[in-house]
Amino acid sequence: MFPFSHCKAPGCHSFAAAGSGYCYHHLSPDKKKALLDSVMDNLRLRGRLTDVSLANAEIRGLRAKDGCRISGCNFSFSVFEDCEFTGGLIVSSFFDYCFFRNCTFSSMDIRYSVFAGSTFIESSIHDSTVIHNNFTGIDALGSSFSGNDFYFSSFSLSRLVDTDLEDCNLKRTNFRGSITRGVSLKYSNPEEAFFRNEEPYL
Amino acid sequence: MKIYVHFSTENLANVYVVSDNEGNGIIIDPAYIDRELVDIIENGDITIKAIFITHRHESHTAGVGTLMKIYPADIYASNNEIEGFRTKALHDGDRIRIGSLEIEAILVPGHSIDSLVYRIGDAIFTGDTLFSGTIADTKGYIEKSLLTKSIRQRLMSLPDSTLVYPGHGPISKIRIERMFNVDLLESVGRFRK
Repeated sequence: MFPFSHCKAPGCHSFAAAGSGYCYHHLSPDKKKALLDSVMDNLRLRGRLTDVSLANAEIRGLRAKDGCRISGCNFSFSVFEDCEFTGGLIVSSFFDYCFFRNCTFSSMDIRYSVFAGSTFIESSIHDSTVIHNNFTGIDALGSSFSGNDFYFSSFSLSRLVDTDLEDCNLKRTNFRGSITRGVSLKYSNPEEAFFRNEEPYL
Repeated sequence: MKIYVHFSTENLANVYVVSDNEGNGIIIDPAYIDRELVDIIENGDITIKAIFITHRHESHTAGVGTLMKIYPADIYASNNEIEGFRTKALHDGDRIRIGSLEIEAILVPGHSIDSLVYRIGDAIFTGDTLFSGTIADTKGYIEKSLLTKSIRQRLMSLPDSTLVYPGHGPISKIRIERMFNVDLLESVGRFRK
């Protein structure tokens, strides 16, 4: 797990980047660049990132190595644009309140991770195992979440617009309070998901 | 600190293994002991020093007997006895140190009268009190009201960045639950069915 030490900058509650005392956003420009380059290189070349905190980062044009493994990391409040993750594993990692534009996660195994409060624009998570993940309060526009196993994941209070969840396993998936417009659930099993607040979820 | 999450398919519950950097470990809510959980402990070189129970419901305690055969350890709970084993009873505010882990017990009644939440650093293990996007089931309106009040007073007062590890379902953060928990929002009229 990433270290639970907080950024020393006044009023900032983000977790600090390892060894620095400050979150990514409050690092000096040269340290910021060095940390971001190191993370990008790890994902591109080694395909492995463990226990790293990189809140408030801006990651653009990343094509992670096929089969990359991200474990125990924190990317809260980060921006991801034109990024691609294929055939890898993401576990116990935090992508809450992130902004994803034109990003693709394909054939991934994503478990116990948090995407809550994030915005997905023209992005896709497809043909993946996405069990026990937190998508509470997300905004998804023109995105695709098709071909996934969303067992026990939560989309509670999310807004899904022109977004597909086709051919998905939605058993125990929580959509309570969500707003959907132009959403296709073709070949999925919404009857096993929870949509109404009156239904006992757990 | 390392936190490992294991999903028990037997009773759809989350089992947590938490260890410090020296390998001193605890298990929270051993719902069921299977090979995968043992692998987490063995591959992580973790020595289980204690078992913590959030509340006395079988879906959170059923693995205690098996666990005690493999990794005998002290059991901490709000009750004196769990699955036939004597425990070290915890009360609200009690703090236990295991290696460099400091575990604080927080009483959050409602789902059951004995429900404890464990706080370790910036993480809380909420058992059947606070889930991602919802709160636990209760017997009736009075219990639901008690649970909602307990969560608001004891958990929602924690910092936004506190990580939430519930007994069932996905993990979360306090900030996320403050903004998007349907049951908590409904209780203050900010969300209607």
